[in-house]
Order: sequence, then C-alpha cells, then structure tokens
Amino acid sequence: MPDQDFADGYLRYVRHKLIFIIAALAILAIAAGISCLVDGRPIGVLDVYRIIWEHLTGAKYEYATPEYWDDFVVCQMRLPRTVLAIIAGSSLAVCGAVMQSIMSNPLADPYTTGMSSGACLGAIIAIVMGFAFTGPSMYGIVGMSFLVALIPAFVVILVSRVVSTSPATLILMGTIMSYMFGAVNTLILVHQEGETLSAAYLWTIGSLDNVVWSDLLVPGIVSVVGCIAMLAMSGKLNVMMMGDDQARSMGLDVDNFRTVLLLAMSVMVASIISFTGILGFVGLVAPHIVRMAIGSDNKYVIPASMAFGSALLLVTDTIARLVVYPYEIPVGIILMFIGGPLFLFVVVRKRGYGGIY
Amino acid sequence: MTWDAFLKRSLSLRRRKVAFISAMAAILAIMLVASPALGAYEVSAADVFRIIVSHLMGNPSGDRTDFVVWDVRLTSSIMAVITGFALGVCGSVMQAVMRNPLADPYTMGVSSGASLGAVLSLVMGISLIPGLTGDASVVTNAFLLSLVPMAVILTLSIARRMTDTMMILCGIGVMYFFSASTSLMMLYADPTQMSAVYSWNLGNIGIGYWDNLPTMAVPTAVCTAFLIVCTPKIDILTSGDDLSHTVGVDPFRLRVYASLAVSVMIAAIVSFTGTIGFIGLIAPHISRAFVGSKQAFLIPASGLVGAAMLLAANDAARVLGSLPVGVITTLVGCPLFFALLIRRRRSQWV
Repeated sequence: MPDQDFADGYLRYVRHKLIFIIAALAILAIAAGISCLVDGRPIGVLDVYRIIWEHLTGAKYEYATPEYWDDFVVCQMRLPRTVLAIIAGSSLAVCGAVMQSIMSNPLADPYTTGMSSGACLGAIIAIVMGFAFTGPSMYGIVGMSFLVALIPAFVVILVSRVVSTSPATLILMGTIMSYMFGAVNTLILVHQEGETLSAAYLWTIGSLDNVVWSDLLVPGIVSVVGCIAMLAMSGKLNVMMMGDDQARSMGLDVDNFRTVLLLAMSVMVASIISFTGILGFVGLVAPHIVRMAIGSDNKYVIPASMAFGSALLLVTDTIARLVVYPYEIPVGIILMFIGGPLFLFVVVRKRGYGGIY
Repeated sequence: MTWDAFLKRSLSLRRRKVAFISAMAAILAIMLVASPALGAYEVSAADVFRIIVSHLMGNPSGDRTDFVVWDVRLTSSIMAVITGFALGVCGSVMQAVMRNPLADPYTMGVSSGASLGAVLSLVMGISLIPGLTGDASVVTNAFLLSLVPMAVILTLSIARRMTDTMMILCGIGVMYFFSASTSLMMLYADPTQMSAVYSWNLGNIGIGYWDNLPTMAVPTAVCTAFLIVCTPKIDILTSGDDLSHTVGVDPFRLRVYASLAVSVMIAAIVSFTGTIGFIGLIAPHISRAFVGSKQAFLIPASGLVGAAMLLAANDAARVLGSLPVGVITTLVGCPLFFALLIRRRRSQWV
C-alpha cells in the first residue's frame, strides 16, 4: 500500500471518531444550556449561555436587580447540578469503559459489579455515624464510602485471580452484592424517622437533587485526576483487552495493573456516589453506544465515553425533572429504563467480546 | 443387590422422605401457633393457643390481645406461610424445568412482573383486561405481566442455547426495567410516598387481612396440585431435552405449562406482599439435601421448608421492629446464592 493511501485511510479512521466525539460534546453543550432552564424563573435559552459567560468573565450586578437574580438563579442554583451531572456522567462512563476492558467483560460497570451499592452503603454508614456533608467531615463520608466500595473491588480481584469463572458469573456476584448492601442499608435506616427513609430510598436509586458549589470540590478534583489518568492508560487498556496471556507476553503486569485500576475506580465511584446516590448503568450504556459507533480502540472510547456519558446523564436528569413537573423523579429510574433493555441486549447478543459465559 | 434388598432400601428411602415432609409440616404447625407470641406487644404462647382455640370454638373474647393475636399477627403469619409455600414450590419447579440451579421466581423476574401488574391496578387503577375491578383486576394484571419475563427467556432459549447464568441475567435485565416502572408509577401517583414504594419493592408482610387469604391460598393450592400431577413429566425433563423427546414429553410445552402455573401462584401472592426474594431459591436446595430430586417429594418438601423459612423471617422482621421481611430474606439468601454460584456443579442438583 502506498504511503499516501495509508495516511488517508488513517485520517479517515481518526476523523470518523473525532466527529463522534465532537457531536457528543455539542449535545453536551446544548443539554447543559437546557438543563439550566428548568425550574421557576423564566430565562431564555440563549440568555443562559450569556449569563454563564458574563459570570465567568467577572460581571458584577447590583443587589436585587433583575440581572442579579438571573445571575444568581442560573449560576448558584442551577449550574451546580448541571456541573455535577457532567462530572458524574463522565467519571462513571470512564469507569465503565475501563472495567469492561480490564475484566474483558461487556457487562461490567460500577453498578453491575456492586461497587456503587457499596459506596452508597458506606456513605450512609458515615452519615449515621454523624459525619456531615459540610467542612472536613465530608472527607469522612467519601472515605467510608471508598472503604465499603473496596469490598466488591476485592471480590472482583480475588475472583479474577483465584477462582476461574465466567464473566456472567462475576456480574451475578456483583448483583448479589448489590442486593446485600441494599438490605444492610435498609436495616440501618429503617429505625430512622420516615423522612430519612425516603431520603435514603431516593439515594439508593440516585438523584442529583440539592447540589451546591461546595459539594463539587471533592468529586470534581477526583474525577478530573481520575479521567486524565485513565486517558493516559488507554494504550495499556488496549493491550489488556487482548486477554491476560497476550497482555503478559507484551510485558504488562496484568494482575497489578488490574488491582491499581480497580482501586482508582473505587475512589472515583465513591467520590461521586457519596454525593449523588447510586446512578446505575451510565457506565454500561455510554461505552456500549460509543463502541457501536466508533469501535473499541480505548484511545477514542475513553474520551468519547466521557463526552457521551455526561451528555447522557444531563439529558436523563433533565427528563427526570420534567416528567412530573413540578415534582421530580429520581434520575436513577430513567437510567434503569435505558439500562435494563441494553443489559438484556448485551446478555443475549451473539457477537462481541466472544462468549461471556 | 437382590430384588428384595433393593425393594427394602427403596421403601426405607421413601419412608425417610415422607418422614421429613411430615416432620416439616409438624414444625410448621408449631411455629404457626408460636409465632403470634413474638413481637413488641407481649402475649404468652399459652394465651395465643387459648385465643386460637376460642376462635375455633366460636366464642372469641374480642379484647385487645385477641385483636393483636387473631387479626394482626396470625393473619400475617398465615400470609407468610402461604407466600413461603408458593415461593418454595415455584422455585423447585422452575429449577427443574429450566434445568437451572439458580432459578427462582425472583431471579427470573417473574415476581417483578407480577409486582408491576399489581401496582398498575392498585395505584393507577388500570386493568389490562377491561371490566375487572378490585382484587380481580390486581391479580389478573399481576398474572399477565408475570408471564413476560418467562416468555422472554423461553423465546430466547429457542433462538439460542441459554446457559444458566445467562437466563438469570436475562431475568435481572427484565427486572431492572419492571422495578423501574413500578417505582415510577408509585412516585407518579404520589412523589412523597417513597417509603411505601421502598417497602413494596423489598416485600412486606407486616399486616395481613383475613379477606386476602382465600385469594392467595386458592390459586396456590390449585397450582400446587396441578404441578404435583405433572411431576413424572417434570422428572423426565430434568434428565434433558433430548431424553424427554424420546419418551414423548414435549419439553417446550411442559415449560410453558409449568410457567403458567408458576405465574398464577406468583401473581396471587405478590399482589399482596410485593416482591420477596431468595426463598424460592434456597428452599429447594435445602430440601434436595433431605429428599433428593424426585419432584413428587421435592415440591411439597420445598414448599414446607419455604413456608417455615418465610415464617421465621417474618417473625424476625417483627421482633427487630417492623422491618420489611424482604430485608431478612435478602440478608440470608444472598450469601447462599453466592456460595451456589461459586460451587456450581450440575451433579448436585440434577
């Protein structure tokens, strides 16, 4: 093949993927604007972008003028939720994509492996122990959430090292652990008063309700660091996808690599879940749709999953706020509607990563 | 082994199985009388017995203790017994006809379908068969939707060979969708009723009503009888599809019949209790250790074991302070399911 043809072919290969990523980012930008429109005070679509832009460029308004309230409503009340959706969506989607690669398991994601439920249980234990979401004790919640999320992570590590088992069995174990964590959750919370129980239930199905800027510090930093680290690992992840033996022969320390990544993902998942509750299936749906569109080269799948995952969570969250307006339903329910059928589809389809049973 | 020795051994095995079933029935009866004595409002076991006898003789005292024992705790216990029995029977039959040690109404998604159907009628007032109202519409809705997961799994199993974990994952996929629909409807009806949704999803037998019991008991009894009549065919099916073809049992048709019977039972109980997990999974595995895999013994045995387990779980839930009983069954059932997953060998159950 002449060099020119090869170069053209490669460009086409890259262009297709870049277009997908750019399209996902465009959807994300539009969805972000729309998600800032919901609730109360009517503000035009384009005004939202203008207000955010002016806020960023440091515009100051006199107290209690209409401009002041516009700015306050958009930037203090609505934007934190949008930003949290973006952070959570991209982290969870990246974790899903990475888990699917390192475990060679198309069904793996923080939810199906039980990590999310573990993180949720940890957060609830911390709250019952008296930690709060403000000040330094916020780290207590995230820390406890991380510790419990390690249980499923270690089961995954143990199972992949010691017992030889099929990917489907591993996912069943994860599901069982989720049930178990959920039951312990109820056991802890049932003697709290009724409102706490509803709050806890809301949490077990995930919701982006009641976010303020100070909540975003920990998830924001962890996600940015985590996502960049995962992007840097994408070459090794491609090697992992070929299977343990091939990866070893290419000089990759498979077991340690997997362990380190699972620990890193536990931190990421814990930092998100302890603020949002269990947001299932983002990590399953986003990478699968991305792979259907652009193939499974992790160098592109990971950034594309980030963009697509955050767009997905933003759109579903906006839908969740509009369905029974002025009430909102937990976004986790909408995610289950999308995730359940996709899960079923991945289970029964014949092609893919080879047999998962 | 001579014929006489064989016959003797076979009869003694049979006696042992019958003895296990009778012993379970006796234990269950004792538990049923003892369990209203447990709970925050103190009643002695002797009083419970006295109250039950007084009601049976037709001269109830009608005081506060009488109300607690007869109308609250005893109904709840009887509901637990019927529910546990139905779940145990369904689990045993599903494991046999699907040839899958992990099958039960909960893991295959049947319960979640029934739960969605019941909520459709209870909360939204929609009846899938026009013209029905009240309990009839609740139960028929539950029945129709509980057919969906089994239909999905059976259809897929025609198209391609399903491994046992794959069947369960299909069930779980359907369950995610159904339980999301259930939650959505309940929240749509009243966004503040989170804890009611929660306890329904976990399964709750806190309070029973005498009026509900016949609706639960009659379908359970009829379907159990039907399934026991089918046991010779189910036994053949457990030895494999090919073998059953050669002796004239159509595996697919038998699976459809069994699924229909299971759906009727599950619809009748889930309509009143919500989804209770893992009893149908564990009861057959415990019973199999005592009575072996012959369905004629296994079905009643696992029904009784299931009933005893759920009754015990229901008592524990009440003693620990009005927990949804599903929490207890999940806490006990999950580790056992986990162990089953790791040590799965076909020879243990076929």
